Amino acid sequence: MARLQVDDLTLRVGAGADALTLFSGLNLTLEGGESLALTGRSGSGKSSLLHCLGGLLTPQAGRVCWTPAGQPTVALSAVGEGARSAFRRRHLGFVFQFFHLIPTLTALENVAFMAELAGQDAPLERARAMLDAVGLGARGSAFPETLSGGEQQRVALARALVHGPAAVLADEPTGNLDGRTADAVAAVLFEQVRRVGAALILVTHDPALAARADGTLALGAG
Amino acid sequence: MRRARGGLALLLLSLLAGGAGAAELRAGAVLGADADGFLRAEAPRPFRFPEDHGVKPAYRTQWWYLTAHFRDEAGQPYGVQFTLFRQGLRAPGREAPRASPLATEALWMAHLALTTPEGHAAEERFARDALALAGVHAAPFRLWLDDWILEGDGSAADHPFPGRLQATLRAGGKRYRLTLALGAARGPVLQGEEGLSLKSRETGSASYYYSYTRLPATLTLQAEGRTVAAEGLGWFDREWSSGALAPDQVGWDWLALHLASGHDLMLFRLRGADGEVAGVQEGTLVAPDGSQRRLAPDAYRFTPVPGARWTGPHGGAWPVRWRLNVPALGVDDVLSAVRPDQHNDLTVPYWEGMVCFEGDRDSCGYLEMTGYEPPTDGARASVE
Amino acid sequence: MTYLWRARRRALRREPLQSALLILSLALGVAVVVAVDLVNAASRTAMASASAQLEGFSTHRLEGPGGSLDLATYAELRRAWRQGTLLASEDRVRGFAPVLEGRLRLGDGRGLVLLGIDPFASLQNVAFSDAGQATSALAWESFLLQPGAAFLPDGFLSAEGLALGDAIPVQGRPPLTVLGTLPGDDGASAQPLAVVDLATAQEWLGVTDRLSRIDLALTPPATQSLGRRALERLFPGLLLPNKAPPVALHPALRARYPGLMVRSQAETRLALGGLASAFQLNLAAMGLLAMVVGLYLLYGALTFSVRRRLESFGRFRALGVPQGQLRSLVLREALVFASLGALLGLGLGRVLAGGLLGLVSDTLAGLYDQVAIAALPFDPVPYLKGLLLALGGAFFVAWPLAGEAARAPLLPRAGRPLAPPIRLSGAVGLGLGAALLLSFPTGYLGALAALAALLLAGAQLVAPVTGGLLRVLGRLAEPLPLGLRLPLREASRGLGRAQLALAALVVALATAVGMTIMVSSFRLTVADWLTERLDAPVLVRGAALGADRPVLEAALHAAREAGVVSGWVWRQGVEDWLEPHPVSVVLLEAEGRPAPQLRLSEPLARRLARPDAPTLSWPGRLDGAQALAPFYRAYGGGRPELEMPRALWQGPAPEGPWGLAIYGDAEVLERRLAPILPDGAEMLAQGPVKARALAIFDRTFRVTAVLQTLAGLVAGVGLLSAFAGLALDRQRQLSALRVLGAPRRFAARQLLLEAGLLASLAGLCALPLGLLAAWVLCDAVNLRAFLWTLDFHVPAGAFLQALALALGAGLLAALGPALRAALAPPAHVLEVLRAEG
Repeated sequence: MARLQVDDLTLRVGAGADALTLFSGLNLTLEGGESLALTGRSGSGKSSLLHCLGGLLTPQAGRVCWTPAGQPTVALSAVGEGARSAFRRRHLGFVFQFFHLIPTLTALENVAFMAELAGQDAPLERARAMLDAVGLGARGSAFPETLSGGEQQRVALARALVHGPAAVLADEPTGNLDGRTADAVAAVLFEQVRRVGAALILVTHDPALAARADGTLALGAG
Repeated sequence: MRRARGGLALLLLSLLAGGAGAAELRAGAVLGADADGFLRAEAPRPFRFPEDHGVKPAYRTQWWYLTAHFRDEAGQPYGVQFTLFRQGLRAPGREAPRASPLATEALWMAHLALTTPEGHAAEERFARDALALAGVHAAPFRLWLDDWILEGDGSAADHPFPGRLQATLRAGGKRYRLTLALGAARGPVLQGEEGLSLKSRETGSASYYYSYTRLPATLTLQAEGRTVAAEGLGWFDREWSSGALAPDQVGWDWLALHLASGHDLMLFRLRGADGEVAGVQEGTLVAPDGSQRRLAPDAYRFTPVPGARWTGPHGGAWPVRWRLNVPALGVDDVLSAVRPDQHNDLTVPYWEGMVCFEGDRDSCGYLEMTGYEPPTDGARASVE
Repeated sequence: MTYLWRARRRALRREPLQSALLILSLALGVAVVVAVDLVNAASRTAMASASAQLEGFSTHRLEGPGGSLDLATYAELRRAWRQGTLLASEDRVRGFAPVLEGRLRLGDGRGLVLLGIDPFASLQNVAFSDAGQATSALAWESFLLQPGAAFLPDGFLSAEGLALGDAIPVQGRPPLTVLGTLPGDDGASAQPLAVVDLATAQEWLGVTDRLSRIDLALTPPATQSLGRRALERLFPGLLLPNKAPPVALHPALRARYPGLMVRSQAETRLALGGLASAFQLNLAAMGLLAMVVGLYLLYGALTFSVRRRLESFGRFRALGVPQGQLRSLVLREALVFASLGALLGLGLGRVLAGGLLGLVSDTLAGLYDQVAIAALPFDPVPYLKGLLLALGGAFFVAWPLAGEAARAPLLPRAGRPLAPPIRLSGAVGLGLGAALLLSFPTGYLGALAALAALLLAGAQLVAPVTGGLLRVLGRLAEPLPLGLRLPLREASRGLGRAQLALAALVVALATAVGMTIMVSSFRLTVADWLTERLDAPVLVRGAALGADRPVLEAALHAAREAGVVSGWVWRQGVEDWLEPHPVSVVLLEAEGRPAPQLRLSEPLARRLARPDAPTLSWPGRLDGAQALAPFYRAYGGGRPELEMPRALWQGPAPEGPWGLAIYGDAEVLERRLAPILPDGAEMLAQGPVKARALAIFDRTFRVTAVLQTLAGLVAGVGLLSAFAGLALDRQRQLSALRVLGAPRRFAARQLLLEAGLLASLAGLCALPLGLLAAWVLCDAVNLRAFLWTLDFHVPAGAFLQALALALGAGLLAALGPALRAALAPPAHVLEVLRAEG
């Protein structure tokens, strides 16, 4: 079971007169397969918090500590780029709003790529299994441009999970999908994340989606 | 090493062939069995001196051949050979004279070879027959090619000697300055039948040949800062002809020997491929009083000692020890070369060197051998 | 890594045009470099081979005054050689061979070099066949005995269809007879050369009292440093030949024969072709330029490709792809393009070289006494060099971009035009570097490097300058309708994407303009020079002219009375030594003309490092310090020259050939003079001589024109790629307008206007840069390399031509995308709008 511990996190963006403190002194704990939704108006810093948690942004103060199951704790905010990069590919999964699959790889290859990156053996088998799990086993050889939005996001999800990460960070995963598809994808997201046993932190402005999570953190003024 | 000059070599081979023989004689086919307007040596003729010392352009081939052997104070042997050849390319008067003073109808070639206790060196030079680059004056006697000069001092009106040879030899990166002082000589001795020396009964080719057989000589040699003085005896041959060899004659052996008893002996024999005499062998004996007689072939034996061969740079097996037996003189000894490597590796390579009796070191002379090399298509040597 | 590379490969395959264009531009660059190297190497081989046929193993030559040696001198020198007293230093003479060389005219008027040798002393590659066949001994005899018997190069005999025993007709003489081919001949040269015996040479050339020179072989042979030899192999034509240290005659000989000189063969060869060296230098520089343009385009394309994908690189980093992998991805892509381009270029280069060969051979024939190139020799070095340049250059160019990719920001940013930062500092740095190189004596290589630096600096400035011009135009265009203002705005935005291609175009154009100006200046200067030197309508030459002088003088005076002749000038040449340079002195005596003055030729004046000195002292030749008139121009190459009134000459009596320049009414002069000229005198009308010289000059630089075009092609290909990209950017915008109702033509017009605008502005930038380049070429490179100055002359149409070229290139490059935009069916338009970014 993974664990996330955030202490006293402070993040400012911009510089000089335009500097904006998104949050300060933030504390957060996430255990095991918990899911957390980050909500707030646009510009409230929820994406930025997500990025901090994923080691993509460096906070001005505070610590972000991950402890993947059976692994030593890594203070993501304190280590160098190389270590962070390694941590990301081994222990984290990302889902983007605009899917961002590699257009010239097939669905299967997109997923296998991640498995290979994470250093897993039998990446193709794992990818196939993951695609099956998200219900796209038959579309493995299709290129993203021939898949619908929902299908692309499901491939993205498979990619985020194929290497058995400690947590999945999703930035508006349904933001670009219509109502019915969004629901379907949301269902698959939670289902698969729970099945793999990873934690889930997602940013969303959709209350229905946020409601599915175990917990919510609202970011806003202050 | 420059590239071989087959044509030139052939021409030179033919030159030697015209006189006494050569290997690989397609030159015979080149020059034709007939002499192209050149005069042939066919019958004995009266010799006139000093005129006959000079150039005879009507004959194809001729040379002036000086050899001398010496011993220095320590008894070390030294040998010098100086030869000037003239090969006519066209008989005079056959074509109209040309406008260019450089036009030539003959080729001059000179060889200078030196044997010292340290080794043997030889140099070869060429000149066209123009601008008096090379030539021979009968009287006063003067023979030259560039700065190699043999001249008489004029004291003997009809003879080249007493005289002097001055030359510088450059070989193997070294320079040797030679001066040979030659005293009044014994001769001239007409060889063969009153000066007509037959070479081949088959082709009837012969030459006119006389020698100055005994020349008291003094050598002064300067090389690498040292000067050597030595004393000895020289021998001078003059020969001219237009003939060619018979096809079965591959080479010859020639000997000019100064016996301690005061006799001078000249022997030559033409050789066939089997190493035996092929055709002609000649011998002339000059007594201390100057009288001469021809030696019949059965009056002497002159054969190589088996097993005493020196391997030349081109693969020939040169006999460097010869058994000489002349009963009439009571001579029966082995002549051996003072060094086996007295080989002139020139455009046409041949062996020419100082030899002495093993039993009597005071009897020395010069031996010349040709044709012991395996047949080749032309010669190999470089020309400097 | 495999997946990333696989994805990239497929992406590239989906843009076949872009990829193909990039490979093509690189291939062209490599092709030009390889072709130039091959052709330069072939020229050098042919010239070396021709020289070898004339010089053989000899390393030096011994020449007398007037380029001749009388026979008595020869005999004495020969004796000195034998005795080891020929040279001042230790005796190094291995070989000593008399030579008589001259020219005959074949039946059809072409020149034939006649080389008379002494086979007994030969240092030439005249080694008759190794196989001791009967014919070769016969050939030997015939060579010596048969007047007119000659050996000729195999290449020439084949070209003329001549066989053994054939007669070769010669003007004014009995025919020569083919005795055989000239072995030692490597077939690289097909020059008309006949090797004959000295006697034949004397008779055929009509000089029976002299020789031309004595060829010497000295040990040790001149050795060059390994580094220098490697450089010469890598950049044939770029390095001018070195001079060997001088060899002096023995003092006793020098005292007796003051006009005798020992020169190295290499120096003679250099002297033969100042123009030829200029030509080769040109070619080499063009080759390098084409390569630079090609690499520049690769840089542009790679930069664009990387920057366009910066976001996705960032995402990969977010996913955890290590930086090293991202870096390798970019490098790998660059190297793949470079390899494909290089391989294609090697093949193209070979083909191009074959095509150029004819032109180059023609040029050499004019400059080098009919040296002809038989074929392209096989030489792996140019190919290896092209390959290494392409791969090395690609690596050099891709390395910083790989770094950028590796450091791509992890998070997406709001859309911003991805214009590469304008590095003015780079341009300033390069400019300063160029200024330094030009201010100090860095030689002609330094000047070439300065030229390269200036061009690159100019390339850097294209974007800011064009941007500035666009802004100015934008303000000026306020009153114009929006349809015309839109392309202006778009051009400013499109500048970012197209700037590298435009910079490449500017560099290519600037070089073309610079070269054109230089060539035109050169030509004009040479034409002026020829006009000045050949101002006499008639020139008389002949071996016996000196002897017939009194008779001629009388006749000329009479002709002057009759009003036919207005004046004349006697000239006689002397070859001498003005320490430490061998020189040609021309002694002049004028009648009815302005008095001649003591003057140095420009190359000599510069060589003596005293271009403005007022006096000249020359002990033994001039009495004290004599007043010097300003130097005169000279462009022929050859021995440095000086001229003086004959009366001033205090040196030994000259024995060289005489010349007589006669002035008067050109029309009647020839007719009236013909009867009074002595036998053997040759009368030349100067007009045709000048025309011929200019024709040779033109041919020399025609090759440059071809190569310039190619360099321009390279840039043009780059433009194609850039404008196709531009069109792609505009696609959505224009499609939206189409849906809103704009006519088909609108899109096409927009694209063409944008492209035309950008290209014209770039062309405008090229003009001052080209002018600068021309100035450097004329005043720095040429001056330092050959010590001659050129009058700067800008041909009337040069600038307009360059602008037109730029505009044309731009429009042509945009034509494809414009047509595609115009012809796109409505369905496609909607498709574009629907697709996600």
